[in-house]
Amino acid sequence: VGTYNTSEFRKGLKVQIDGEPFLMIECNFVKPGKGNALYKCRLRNLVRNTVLDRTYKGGDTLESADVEEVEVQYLYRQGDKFVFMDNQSFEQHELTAEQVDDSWMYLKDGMVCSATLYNGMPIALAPPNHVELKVEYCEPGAKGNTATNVTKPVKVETGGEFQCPAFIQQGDIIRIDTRTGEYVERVRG
Amino acid sequence: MLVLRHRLLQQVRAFFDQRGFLEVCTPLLSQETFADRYLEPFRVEASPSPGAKSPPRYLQTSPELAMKRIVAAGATAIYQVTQAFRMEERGAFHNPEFTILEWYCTDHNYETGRTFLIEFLGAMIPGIRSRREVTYEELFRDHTGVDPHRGELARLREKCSAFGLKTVEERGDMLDALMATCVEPALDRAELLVIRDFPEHQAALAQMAQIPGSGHRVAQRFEAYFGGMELANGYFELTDGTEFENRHLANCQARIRQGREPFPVPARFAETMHHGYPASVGVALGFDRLVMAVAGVDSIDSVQPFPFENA
Repeated sequence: VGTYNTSEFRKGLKVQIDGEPFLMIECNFVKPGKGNALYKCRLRNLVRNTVLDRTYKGGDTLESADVEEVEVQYLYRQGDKFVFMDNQSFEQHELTAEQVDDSWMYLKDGMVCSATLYNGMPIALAPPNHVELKVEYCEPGAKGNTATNVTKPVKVETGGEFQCPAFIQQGDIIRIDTRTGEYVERVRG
Repeated sequence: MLVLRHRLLQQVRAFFDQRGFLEVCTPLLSQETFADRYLEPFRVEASPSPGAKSPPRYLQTSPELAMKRIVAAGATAIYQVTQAFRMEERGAFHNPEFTILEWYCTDHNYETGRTFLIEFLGAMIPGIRSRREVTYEELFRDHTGVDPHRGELARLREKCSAFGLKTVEERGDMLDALMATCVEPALDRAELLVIRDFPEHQAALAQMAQIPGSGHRVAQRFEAYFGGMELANGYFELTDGTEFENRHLANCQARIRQGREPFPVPARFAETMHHGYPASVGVALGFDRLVMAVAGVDSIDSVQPFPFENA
C-alpha cells in the first residue's frame, strides 16, 4: 500500500483510515502563529457515506486506499443481493441492498453501471446519470392538463416510484435523473 | 481588486507618513536568516560574477533582521511594504510569495504598541464591529477548558486526539494545533481580537516577562485576528544579543530533530545586537490578508494578480 504525505494532500484523494476507505473532500492548510503547519481535512467514508473531520500536522502520512471504479452490468437480484458482472474481467460482484441503496429503483437487466471496488470488493454503486423507465401504473391525469407543475406518483417497471407531471400515462417511457431522483422528460408516449 | 490593493497601499503609506515614520527599502536576498522552527526560506544560488563560487543566499521570510539593523543604527520609527517568501506554505490564506507590511518604533512599549496596531487596523478596515483584547491564556481556557501554560500534557493530548491529531507530542505543538482546530474556527469574524502574552514556545524574538504571582513566564507578543484570519503579529522586541544567539541555536537544534537544515548564527545581526539594541515594538502584518479583510474575500488568490501556480 502506498502512502500520501501531507504535501500531497488534496481534494479527491482516496485514503485509508482505521481500515476503511475515505475520499478527501476538503483540505485546508493552516499555520497558527508561525507554528507547525497543519492540514484540516474533511473526509467522506466511502462505505458508510459519513463525514469525518480530521487534522494532520505537516509530515504526517495517510495510507492510500486501493479504490477503483469499474464498469459493471446488472444481471439479477437474488433476495437481498444484487448481482453484477464486471465488463472487463467478467467476474461477478455481489452488492447488498444496503450498498445499492436507492439505486435499485433504476436497475434494469443488462444496465451498465459504475461500481466502486475497495481491495477488490464492491462497496458502492452508481447508475448512469439518466435512465429511461417504462411506466407500469399511474392514476389517469385530468384531460388537457399539460402543466408540469402538477405532479403525481408514477410506478415504473422496476417497482420504483417517482413524482411525474400529471400528463404521464401508463406505458409512457420517462427519463429520470438518478443523482436527484427527479423526472426529466417524457421520451415516448 | 487591483484598484483596492492600490488604494490600501496609499492609505498605509499615508498613515505611517503622517505619524513621522520613515519608509525603508531593504534587500530581499540576504546572506543571513534567523532560524525559525517552522519557517522554511528559499535558498538561492548567488554568484556575484560569472563562475564565482559563493555561499547561497536566502530570500527573506520577513524583513525583520535588516530593519532591526537600521533601528540599531539609530532610526526610531521605520516601516516597509515588501515581498516575503516562505517555502511549503500554500493554502487559502497562504501563498509562498506574499506582501508584508512591517514597522518598528522605539517610542512604543508593549502596551502602546498594541494600541497603535488597533488604531491602524481601525483606520484600514471599515467592517470592524467590535474590539476586544484577551490574553492567550484566557482565550485558550475559554475554548478548550485547559490552562495552556500549566495544564497537564495528558489533557492537551486528549483534546488533540479528539480532532484526529495523534502524532503531536510537544506542548507547544499541541497548543498550536488546538488554536487552529478548536479556537480559531470559533472566533467572531466581525470582531477585531488582539491576543497577548503568548506561551514561551511562541516567543520568537519577543521579550519574556514574569506574570506576577504565577510562577510562569509569557512572551510579550501579540496577534490581531479579524475575519477568521491572523492579520498581524507584534513583539516587544528582544534586546539581549546573547539571548538572541541562544534562541537561534535552540531553534536550530529543534530543526535538526525535525530533519530540517540548521542555519549559521546571523553574525551581522548578532553583532549589532551586542552593541546594544533599543527597547522597541515591531509588528509584521500580512498585506494580502488586509486586502482580503477589507474586500471580504476568503482566498488569497482573489487578491494577488498571479498566485504561485500562475506566477
